[in-house]
Amino acid sequence: MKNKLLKLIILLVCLHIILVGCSGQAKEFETFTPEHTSEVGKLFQIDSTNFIMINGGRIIEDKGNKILIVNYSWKNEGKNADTTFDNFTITASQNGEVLKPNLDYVKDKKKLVIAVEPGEILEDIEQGFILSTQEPVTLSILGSDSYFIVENKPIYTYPVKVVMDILE
Amino acid sequence: MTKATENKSFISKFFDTLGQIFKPILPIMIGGGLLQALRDILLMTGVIEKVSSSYIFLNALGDAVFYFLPIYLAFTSAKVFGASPFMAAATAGFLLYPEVTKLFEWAKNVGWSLTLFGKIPVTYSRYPSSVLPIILIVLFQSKVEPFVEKHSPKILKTILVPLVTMFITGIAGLIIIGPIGTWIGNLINTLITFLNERSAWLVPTLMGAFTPLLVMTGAHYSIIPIVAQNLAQLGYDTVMLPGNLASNIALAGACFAVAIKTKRVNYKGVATSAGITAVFGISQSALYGVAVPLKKPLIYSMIGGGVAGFIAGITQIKAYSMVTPGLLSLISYVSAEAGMANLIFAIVSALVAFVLAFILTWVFGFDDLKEEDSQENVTGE
Repeated sequence: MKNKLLKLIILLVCLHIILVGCSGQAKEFETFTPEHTSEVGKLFQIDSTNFIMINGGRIIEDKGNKILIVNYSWKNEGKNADTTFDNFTITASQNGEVLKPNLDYVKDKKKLVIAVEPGEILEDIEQGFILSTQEPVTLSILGSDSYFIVENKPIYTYPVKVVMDILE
Repeated sequence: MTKATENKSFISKFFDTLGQIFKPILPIMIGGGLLQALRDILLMTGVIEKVSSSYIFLNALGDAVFYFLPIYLAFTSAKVFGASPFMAAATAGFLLYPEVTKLFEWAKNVGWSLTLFGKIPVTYSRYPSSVLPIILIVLFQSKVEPFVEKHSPKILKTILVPLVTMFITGIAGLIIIGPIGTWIGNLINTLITFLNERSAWLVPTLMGAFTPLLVMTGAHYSIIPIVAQNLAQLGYDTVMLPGNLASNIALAGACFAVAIKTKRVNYKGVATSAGITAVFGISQSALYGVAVPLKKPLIYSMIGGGVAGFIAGITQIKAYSMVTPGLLSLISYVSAEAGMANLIFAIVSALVAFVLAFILTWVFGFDDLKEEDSQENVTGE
């Protein structure tokens, strides 16, 4: 029994050495890693293929609630025609509290799900968020990469944050 | 049959069903929990870094058990409810499908109203690591499957039964049963969070004191869904596992006192081995071999467990993984984010349980078994 186990371990070690040998030289590999923050009115990259520009926002009153409608553009630098759904998510928060989304007052909801050709820019996309205070809103824009590779090490992705002042 | 008897049989049937569903997957839940603890120990000791592929692989090795919990639950639930296990697992796979999960998350973040066929609203639910939705869905499948089987022409059965069953179960699960299960799960969670915020000591105290009674009625398996739910939604459990730990260790303390104090030589061995297994979280021999036959050690261990559970409650110790509540489970109180205080309070709680039950049994004593009884009580689980 012990002999069999030993043979099995030796076999596994040999197989591992062969597999590593056949897989070729490991290459240094890096992916794009975005800045942690950006600004309104500036085109910035959020992952390997997506660029976003927050154009600004407007506030709408609805049944005592104030809804911030954020207007932004998206440039698809991927290889395929794609939708916002597959590429990034924008969420908003005030003082660390995530704001409830609301699409009732956006101009064209379908922009959130229509395909954009590679290299093209989709402008005037809108998303709405119900404000809870008068404090500035922090938008978090998370891309579609699963990991960023830094110095050959995978790190968890993070959103790019943009602070919007909502006072008139 | 009286109403009371009917109620009792329903409750006992309910607990039995939950036990049958969870019992087969306990080994992987324990394995996954220990792997998560191992990951944290390796991280805390600097063997692996958080920014490394090693961390990602090790994290996934333990976490995959909980992330894909609905698939295992689907399989065991199907066996219990008499449905096809693979069809049930396929439905669970559908709900965990990455695109489906991503769509739900995206719709929730953006505020998009999801629909099916453009008309039927689909309520937001999160299925990875969930417990109740899939059990209810498989229960539904167990009603649909025989119906489809009965009404399908014999020649088309192999095609129609899986097609129709999976379609009806999957769609009903997506639009009705899944959201109801999620809603009930959230309700339980809200209740536990409420209890935790208002009187954090209450549930661990009750669990510490009354776990032996739950074990005796077989109802202890019914708390596993709550633990699984807590671990999945909060990432830790403060209410059940710390109380269970206190209870098992208290039983061990009582057993060792009995082992020292009993005048029956052959019973010393029984009480010692029961105490050792209780220390490692297997309480049945301690319960049926020592505590129940002697009665008073049961009361002392309940007092010790209750006091230790109270300590666990007020110090808010958190168990980060599902490990059989015993000495080895202390590893589940190690967490990079909770710090050493969590582990220290868990050890203090276990020590209090052991010492108090031991002293009470030692000081107040018990009526020793007669020679013939002590020979009969060599029992296992």
